[in-house]
Amino acid sequence: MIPNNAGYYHAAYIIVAVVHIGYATSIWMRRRSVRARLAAARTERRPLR
Amino acid sequence: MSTPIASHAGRPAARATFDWLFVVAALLVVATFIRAIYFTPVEALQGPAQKIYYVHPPSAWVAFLAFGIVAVASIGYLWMKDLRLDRLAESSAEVGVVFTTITLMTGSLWGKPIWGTWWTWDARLTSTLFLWFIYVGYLILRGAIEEPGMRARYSAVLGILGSLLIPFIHLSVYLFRTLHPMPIIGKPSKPSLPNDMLETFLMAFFSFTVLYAALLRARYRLATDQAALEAEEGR
Amino acid sequence: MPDAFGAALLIARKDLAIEFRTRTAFFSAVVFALLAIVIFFFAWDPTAVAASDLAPGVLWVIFTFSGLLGLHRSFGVELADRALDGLLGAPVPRHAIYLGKAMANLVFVLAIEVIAVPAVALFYDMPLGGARGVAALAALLILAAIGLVAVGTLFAAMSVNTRLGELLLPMLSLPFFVPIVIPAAQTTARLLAGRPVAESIGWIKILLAFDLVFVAACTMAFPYTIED
Repeated sequence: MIPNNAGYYHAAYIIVAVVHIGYATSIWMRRRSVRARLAAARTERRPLR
Repeated sequence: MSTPIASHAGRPAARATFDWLFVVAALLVVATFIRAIYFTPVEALQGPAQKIYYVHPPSAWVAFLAFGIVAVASIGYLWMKDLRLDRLAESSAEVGVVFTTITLMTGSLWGKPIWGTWWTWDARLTSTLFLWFIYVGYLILRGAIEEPGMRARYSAVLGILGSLLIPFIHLSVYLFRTLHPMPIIGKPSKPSLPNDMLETFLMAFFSFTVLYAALLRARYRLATDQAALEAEEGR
Repeated sequence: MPDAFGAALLIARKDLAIEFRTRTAFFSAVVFALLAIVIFFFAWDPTAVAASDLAPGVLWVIFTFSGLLGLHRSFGVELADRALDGLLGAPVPRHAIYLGKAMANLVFVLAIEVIAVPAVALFYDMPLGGARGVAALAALLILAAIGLVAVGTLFAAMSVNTRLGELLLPMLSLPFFVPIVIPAAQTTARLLAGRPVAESIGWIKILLAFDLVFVAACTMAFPYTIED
């Protein structure tokens, strides 16, 4: 008899997917904001020279 | 047509490039999931929950790999004082924390149906938990120091000491458990796997390792941009 | 390195002299230890768990936390008037600074234990097992204190320079105290139960290995934490 415990593995696979997608998104968002600030800092500095 | 674009004529730095490695990794992981869910037989004794096997050990492997790379990059940093190595260690630590979190959560979800408990103070579980504590502490330490050189040196020291600590925790908890036997259900023994299960398992190891490489590279690029920003704002 | 060792002793003496004149850290650590002994007693149901069974665990938890109190002080005193810069400017090797600080901390931690252990024995009705038991316990305390101080001194040097300050010290140190507390508490329980020392030899080996590895690693790592 095969035990009926598919719910646990569904939960595990969903967690893996959600955590990785969330983490990849967080890298992407952080990079976007850092690059925006970087671009702003560079354009801001240029007229002063 | 007038050209309103010319007003902010900085370098087009805000445009992120296409990350082919990440796309490959995502496709590989999705393929592994599909193969594990639909094309790999259900194990008769443990039931469908055994399929956690295809995500849990590969995540644990990547977690230990990630912290191994933190230690190596930390030693390299103290030796050569190259800030790129520090950024590599930082990136690997963060990705490693993500994989450790997944390892702990999927392990709990596997332990409940098979061992009958969400958590047990077994040597492997405990050392994985402490791996998580040490590298979360590592990231908090980095956040608490402003000056890049000092941050790099301090975190390199912690990265190296942390890798020395893990064997000690493993050994002492292992002895603790054997001297204090508790009526915990034995670990599922590792029988020789049927071929199709083994192939899915190896495929999972491969695709998770590629995913690690992709996340590490993306995180490293972020670290590079952050360093450029710190330099720019520090002027 | 007779010179470096002499310098280390000098630094340890300086730290202990400061501590002996003010005595604030020492007294607060001792009071903390006594309070913890009392609170732990009421956190358990004495009809369910005998106080003497709790004693080893309580002893080692107190040991760890009161040790942390002393460790933070060791670099905290150098912050005033930028005294650390003077220390760094002195013609002594960096290792000697670390060893000196660590020796002073070792004395500090052991001095707290000299008060805390009899207090635990008294309040928890802990059987000390005669002179042999006391000697074995003392040896164990010294072994554990060396490991605790080796790691803790390094992290104390690091955490004073961060924005989080003293908050960071327990967070960094406590994972490293696990392989000290487990063997120490296990051995203490066995010794107090009158079991032969041979039974605990595996634990003592772990403690010894921990001390060797981390005294060496932290001594090598320390110069990186204060260079400029």
